[in-house]
Amino acid sequence: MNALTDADRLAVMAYVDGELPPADHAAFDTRLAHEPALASAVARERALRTRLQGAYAPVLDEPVPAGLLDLLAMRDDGPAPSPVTVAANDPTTPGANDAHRAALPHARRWHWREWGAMAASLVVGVVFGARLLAPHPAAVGADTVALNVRADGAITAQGALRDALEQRVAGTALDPNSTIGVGLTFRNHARAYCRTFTLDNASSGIACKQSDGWVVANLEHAAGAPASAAGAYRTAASPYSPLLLQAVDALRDGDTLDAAAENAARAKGWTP
Amino acid sequence: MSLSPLALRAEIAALLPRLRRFARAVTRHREDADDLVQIAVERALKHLDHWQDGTRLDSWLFRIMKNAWIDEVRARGRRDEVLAPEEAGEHVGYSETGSRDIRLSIEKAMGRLPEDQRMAVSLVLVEGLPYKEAAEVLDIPIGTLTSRLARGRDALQAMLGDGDLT
Repeated sequence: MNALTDADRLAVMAYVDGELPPADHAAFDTRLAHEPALASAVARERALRTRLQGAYAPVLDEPVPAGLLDLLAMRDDGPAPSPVTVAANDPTTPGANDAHRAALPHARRWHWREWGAMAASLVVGVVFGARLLAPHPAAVGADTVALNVRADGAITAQGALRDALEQRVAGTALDPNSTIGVGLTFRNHARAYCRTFTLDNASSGIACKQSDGWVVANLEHAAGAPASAAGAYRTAASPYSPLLLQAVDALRDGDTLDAAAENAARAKGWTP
Repeated sequence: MSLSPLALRAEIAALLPRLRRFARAVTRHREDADDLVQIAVERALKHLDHWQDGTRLDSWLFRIMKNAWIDEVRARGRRDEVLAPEEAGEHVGYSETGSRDIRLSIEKAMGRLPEDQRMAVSLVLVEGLPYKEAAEVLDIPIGTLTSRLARGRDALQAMLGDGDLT
């Protein structure tokens, strides 16, 4: 170790951190094979990285405090109607209060904590795009889109997005009122089915089917499309950003599915 | 800038576990860490339009956290700076895989690093940021970053020893 020059120490560091210029790799690998001091320095640095990552990894598994998630709760302005408001309709009958609430699930604004408590996971997205400002987003049309963020950070598709991912295949007649589009279907390296989707001609993503639903692997906004001008963007050639298409190429194992294969996969519930 | 605010929020929410991890390394305290994340997310939400499409959202948030730590959270002096990590919190939530003692000794060693080295080590070795991104998060040139990384690593190796703690 002590025999290493400063330049070598920096090179070892860069090598372990993946920062060595590609042109220097071959030469460095050759040196590693012949210089035990260099090789042991690399091993030490790698071990340090592993130890540090291991020490902090458990933080990722801790449940995220509700207060933090509340900050990101997506809802329109104003709090959800409180149970007290509902109860005021029939203040004398506690039982009727519950029944009343149960009968009105869609008339209420979605609230982060309620869904969190109910589903042990937290709704972060209710409605995308222009519907953000709708007074009662949960009750708006077919395209109420929800994304669920699990405690591990994975985002799963809910609502209309999930339905579209499950049901739509090439050739399916599109609901003219729907802003959701489903595009390419392919299998990833784990053989799971993945599909690209657009939400409002402004947001697009990739979701892969897993045992607990469609997990959103990428969520992006098509470059250059201001959120407030989603309509204008519809004239653009591709709803998918180059970044997203690159992600498809990185994820896919084999070609994209044709219509027949999509139908067959749908018939099997998108199970690998 | 052009990412729809809701999509951006969803992405920030998905990054929360990593933000908390970085905060833990920076603050060395569980509660301070969540305070820091909270303040940083509040700032980020106030300035969503400052995030530039095509740049890394995680880097942007780490940078906000770094600034929030320097000019707000740290200044509160709520906790003793030299408090050893294992005394600072319960460390609840740690999984039982691996040895708790090893984790604590590593966290303790990190806690003893000067703050600038600790942040550099955390961003590159734990969060896996490229040098360029980490340097931008910290507002320093890459050469400064690599020298902080080198010094931080040497100090950690010296504290932790070669050992067989892997």
